[in-house]
Amino acid sequence: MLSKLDYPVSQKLNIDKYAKILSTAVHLPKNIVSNQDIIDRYDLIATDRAVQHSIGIKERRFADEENEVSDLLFEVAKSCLQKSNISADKLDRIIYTKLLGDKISPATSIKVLEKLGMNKGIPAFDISAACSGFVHLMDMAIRYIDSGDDYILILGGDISTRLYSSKNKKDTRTIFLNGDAVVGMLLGPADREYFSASYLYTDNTYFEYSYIPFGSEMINKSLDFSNEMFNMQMPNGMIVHNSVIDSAEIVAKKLLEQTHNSIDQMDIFVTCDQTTFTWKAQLDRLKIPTSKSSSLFEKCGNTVAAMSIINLNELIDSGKLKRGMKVMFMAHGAGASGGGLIFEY
Amino acid sequence: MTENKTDKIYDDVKKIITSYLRLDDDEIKPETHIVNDAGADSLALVELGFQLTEKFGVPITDTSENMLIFQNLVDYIRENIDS
Repeated sequence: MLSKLDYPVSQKLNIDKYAKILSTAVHLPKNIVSNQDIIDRYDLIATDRAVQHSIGIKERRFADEENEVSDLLFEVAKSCLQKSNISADKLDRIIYTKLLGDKISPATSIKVLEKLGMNKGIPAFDISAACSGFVHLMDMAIRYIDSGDDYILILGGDISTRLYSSKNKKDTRTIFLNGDAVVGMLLGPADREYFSASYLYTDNTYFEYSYIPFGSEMINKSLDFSNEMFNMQMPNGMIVHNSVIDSAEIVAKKLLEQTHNSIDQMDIFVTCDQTTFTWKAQLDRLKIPTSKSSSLFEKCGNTVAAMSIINLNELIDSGKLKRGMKVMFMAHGAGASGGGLIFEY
Repeated sequence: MTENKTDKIYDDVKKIITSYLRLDDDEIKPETHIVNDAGADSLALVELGFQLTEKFGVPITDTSENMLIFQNLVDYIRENIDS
């Protein structure tokens, strides 16, 4: 059921200085953790087959204890720069969309600058937009480039499995969902249009359906600190699932209005996959064949803002997505918050 | 509805549920609610559905609230086991 909110008018991108994707990178920690590993580790009443049947996941990655998210972000930052043969000192800006980050403050993206050994004090900051964070960053990057920047590195993902540390009470509705991963994308100037549409929106009627409680609200209520404040709360997973499917329909419609294309003219469809079923349901709603898309949820889990880029990277690596193809790219998340872009790869 | 605590189907269903949910034998009674009283979560219901289907060859397709009462579940299996 689509919300009755009014969504922003879909406005064509008004860009004079064009941008394009120069490179993407994914960093997955080496430690593969199966459903059975989690069941054994926390002595849960659950089975691997029930988990696979319910959400589609088989395994996910856990970051090493000695690593913080800035360590992983440093790896994708290096990889993006190497792949496009751009040195770090050419960067104009780094933006990271976080769930937790190294710290609440300062920005983790500044730590990445330090790890890159940057001698130039370029702007670097974090944003918070849960699973939809990366589409916000792509939208920002093409507008920053239009207004003067040349090279912008955008980063996403987190070590989100730390939400379920050994001290927390376990909730089998959420403990199997997450995996650790970070992603990066380097954007630079282009001599013609690559990005033909961008659309972002929110739906505040879903604000309380998926959240992490810790924040000033809890401090204000003088509640005793506990690790459970960091557990993802999802009172009704089906409502969250349905909000993502609705979001896919809203965003697709708004993007296609900008380009005057039909959905059939999209060569590739990339979206987030909070579960395997959420990914498939988006394709079904938009009548897109699975051959035009990809989901690595069963191997990576919910990696927050990294999901869509992990799937994009898989399509690139597998050869399914080739230069010149038209891509509809989306992400949807808590808030609810969603958006997407159409671009030529 | 037949309530027969010595019924083999009753005992077998009870054994599957107590074993999986790590309960004592006396924690399952005919009126026990499998979620509210026995503590099953959604994943547990999926797995119990698998195990009961494997044991009795009866797919648990009725997912109504009524089916979460232990005796109703036993009756459903009994009624469908030979059909």
